[in-house]
Amino acid sequence: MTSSNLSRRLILGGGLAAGAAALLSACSDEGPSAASRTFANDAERWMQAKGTKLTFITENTPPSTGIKQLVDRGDFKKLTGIDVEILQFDLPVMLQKAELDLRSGGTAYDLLYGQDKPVTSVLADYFEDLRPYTKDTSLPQAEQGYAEDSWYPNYLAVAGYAYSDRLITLPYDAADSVFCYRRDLFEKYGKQFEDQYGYAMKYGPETTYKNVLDFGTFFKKLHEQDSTVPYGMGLHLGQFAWTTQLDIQRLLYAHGQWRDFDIDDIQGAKDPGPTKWGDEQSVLGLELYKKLFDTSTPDALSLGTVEVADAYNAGKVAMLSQFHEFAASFEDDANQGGGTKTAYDVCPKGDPEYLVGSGKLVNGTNCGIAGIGINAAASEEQKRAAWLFVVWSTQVETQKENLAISGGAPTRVAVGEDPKIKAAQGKPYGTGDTGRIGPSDFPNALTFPAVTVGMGSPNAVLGPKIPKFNQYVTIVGNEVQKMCAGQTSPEACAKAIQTQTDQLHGV
Amino acid sequence: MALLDRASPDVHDVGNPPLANRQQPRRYLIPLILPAVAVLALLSIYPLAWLIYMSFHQVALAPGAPDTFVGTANWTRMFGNPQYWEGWRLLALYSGVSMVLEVGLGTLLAVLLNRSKHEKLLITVFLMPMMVAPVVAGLLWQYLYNGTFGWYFWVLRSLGLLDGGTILGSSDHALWAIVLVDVWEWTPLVALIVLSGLKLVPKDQMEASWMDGAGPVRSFFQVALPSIKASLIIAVLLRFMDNIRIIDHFIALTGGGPANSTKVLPLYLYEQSFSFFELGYGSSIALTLLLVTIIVGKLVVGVFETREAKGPMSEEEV
Repeated sequence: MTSSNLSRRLILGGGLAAGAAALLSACSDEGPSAASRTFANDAERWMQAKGTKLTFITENTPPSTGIKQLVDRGDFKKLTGIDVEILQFDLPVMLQKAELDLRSGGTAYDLLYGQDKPVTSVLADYFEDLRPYTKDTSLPQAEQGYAEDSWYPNYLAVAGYAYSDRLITLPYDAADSVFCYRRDLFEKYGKQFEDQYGYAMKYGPETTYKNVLDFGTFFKKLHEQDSTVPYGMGLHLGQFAWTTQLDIQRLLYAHGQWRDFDIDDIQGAKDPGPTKWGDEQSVLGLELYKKLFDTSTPDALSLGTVEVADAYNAGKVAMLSQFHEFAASFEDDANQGGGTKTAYDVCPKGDPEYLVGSGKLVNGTNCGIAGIGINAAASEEQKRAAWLFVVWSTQVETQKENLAISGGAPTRVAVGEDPKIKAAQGKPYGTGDTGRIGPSDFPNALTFPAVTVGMGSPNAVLGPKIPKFNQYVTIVGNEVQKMCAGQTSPEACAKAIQTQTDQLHGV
Repeated sequence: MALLDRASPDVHDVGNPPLANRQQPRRYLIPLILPAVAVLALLSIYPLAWLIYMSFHQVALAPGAPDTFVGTANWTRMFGNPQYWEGWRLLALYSGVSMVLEVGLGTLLAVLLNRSKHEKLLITVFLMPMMVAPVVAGLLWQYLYNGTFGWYFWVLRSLGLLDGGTILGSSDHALWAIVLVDVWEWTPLVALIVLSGLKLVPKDQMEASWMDGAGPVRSFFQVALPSIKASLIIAVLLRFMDNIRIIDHFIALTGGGPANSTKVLPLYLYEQSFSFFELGYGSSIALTLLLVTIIVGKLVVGVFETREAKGPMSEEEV
C-alpha cells in the first residue's frame, strides 16, 4: 500500500462523509434551507430574494384581480425586489393547467391558487408543507400569526388541510354563501303576501326553506300577472357543476346536517366509501329543490353562478343564495337590486316539514375558500421567495388595500374589525341580527355579519374533500339538471347520483 | 443502331419504359422515401401507437411513475357507459344536420353569388364568420342567446316563438342552437368551395342547355351539378372531419348541458381526458372516434374516386 493510495482513500472517504453530512442536513426538519441566514432588520428579511421571478396561477376572482393591481402598482416589488407574474383563468382552465404542471413534476408555477375542494382535494400531495416556513425566523412572518382564530371561522381548516396535518395553503380569498333578496319588493308586496299566506313576508335567521318556497311561489304568481315583477328563487344550475352541488348541499345540510359522505370534512378522505345519496333525506331535499326551481325563471337551467347574478341584477329573480363577493355588483345603482334595495342575511334554515328523523335544523352555509400555496417541486430558493408572497398577500394590510381596490373577500378577521370596514357593514335589517342593507363604502362588507354566523358552527358545511371531487360534482350537476328538466324524479335522481358516485369510488 | 434500339421503346411505346429505366427508381426507392417515412412515423405512427398503449393502461402523469396495465378495462368501461353511446348519438345528429344545412345553403349561396355583379364584395362579407375563431363565435352567440340580455333571445320571445321558454337552458333547443352557430360559421366555406367548382362548368354546355329551353333550375341540375360534384364531395369531407371533432362551440355555449343534452362525444372525451385526467379511458374513446373518422372519410373518398374513374355522369344518371 503506497502513500498515494492512502491519500486517495482519505480524500474519497472525506468526500463521502461531507456528501452524507450535506444530505443529512438537507433532510433534517429544521425548516427550509438557508434557515441559518441572519438579517439586520425586517426590511432586509423581505429583500432576501431580490431579483427572483415568481409565477402565480390563480382563478380570475375579484381578490386576485385586486392583488394583481397591487403587484402591477409595484407594492410587492418595492418591498421585496421580486417580480411576480400573475396568470388568471376561469377555475376549470386554471385547474387543468395547474394539474398538468404539478402531476408531471413541473415548476411552471411557483405559487398556486388552492380552491379548497376542486383544487387542493385533488392536488394536495403536490403542495409544499408550509409549517416549517411559519416557524423560520429568517423569513418574514405575518404580524397576525396563523392561528385558526386569526381567520374568519373555518377558513384555515377548509383551505389549509387535506388528508394530513400538512399545512398546504393559507386562506387567500373566500366565497361564502349568503342569502340576498329584494327587500324593496318584500316591503312593497308584504301586505299582499300576508293576506294570502297568513304570516309576515320578512326574512331573518329563522326563515326556513319552506318560507322561501312560499315567497318564491308568491313572486311567480305575481309575475304571471305582471311581467315587471321578478320570478322567485334564483338557482345555480348552469355550466359550473360545483356551484350546483353547493346549491343543493346547503339545502340538504340545513335539514339534519346531511352530508354527502360520512367522512371528516376538514381532513377529507382519499377513500370516502359509500355516499349517502339515495337515502330518504336526500330524496326529500331534492323534492324541495325542484319546487324552488319551479318558482324560478324559465331559463334557470342555463344560469350558472355568474349568470344567475346577472339575472338578479336584471330584475328577473327576487332572491337567491349567492357567494358574498357578488355584493359589490348587487349594490351597483345601475342594477335592479342596486342602490340599497338588496338585503343580505344568513342562508335559509331547514324546515321541519322536509326533515327526515330528528336531526338539527340549521342555516346551511357552504363556501369555496381558496388558499395560496407553493409548488413542492420548485427549488428551495423559489420556495423561499414564494413564501414572501404568501405572507404579503394574506396579511391584513394587503387585504384591506385589496378590499378597497377590487371589492374582494378578505380572509383575515382583523380586516372586518377595522373601524372603517366595520362601519361599512351597513344598517341592521330584518328580523335577526345578521341582515344588513347599504349604503356602504365597501359593499362586500355588508355580508360580513351573515358570513360570520353562516360559516360558524353549526351552520357551516365544509366538505367533501375527496380526490375525485370534480367527477363527483359533475355527476351531481348532471343529474340535478335532469331532474329539474323533468326527465327524472327526485327519487330517481338521488339513486342515479348514488349509483354513479359509488361506482366512481369502487364501492 | 444500338442508340436507335434503346431509344425506340421511348419513342414508340410511351406507356412501357425500358426495363433498365423501370428498375432504376426501385434502387433509390428506400433511401429516397426513408426521411419522409421517418418524419411521418414520428408525427403519426408514434402518437397512434402511444394512444393504443394508453388505452390499455391507467396512465400516470408524473415522470418516472409507471403506468398500470389494466387490460381491456378502459374499453369495457367505455362500451358499457350509456354516456358514451349518447355522445355518439348527439354527435351524429349534430354532424348530420349541420352538414346537410351547410351543403344545401352553401350551394344555394354559391349559385346566387356566381351570377352576381358584386361577387367579390359579397363573398368577402359572407366569409367573415369563417374568419372568427370557433370559440369566439361560441362566446358571441352565447351573448346573443343569453336569456337575460341576449338580442336573439329577445327577438324570439317577442315573436312568441319561445313561449316563455329559453334557448340554451332547454334540453330540447340547446343542440339546435349550436347547429345554427355552426351553419352560420361554416356555410360560407362550402359556398366558397362550390363557387370555385361552378367556375369550371363549361360555358358552352350551359349555353346549349339554355338554347334547348332549359330553365335555371333544370340547367343547374343537368349541367352544373354533375360538374361541381367533386367540389361538393370535398366540402362534405371537410365539414364531416371538422364536425366530428368539434368542441369549441359546445364548451363556449353549453359545456355539454343542460342535463348532458349537448355532451357530444368529443366533449365527453375532452372532459374525461383533460378535466379528470383519465388519459387511458380517454384514449380508448379517442381511438374509436379516430376509427370512425377514417372509415367514413375513406367511404366519401371512395365515392369520389369511383365517380372519377367512371368519368362524367351519363344523362340517365343525371
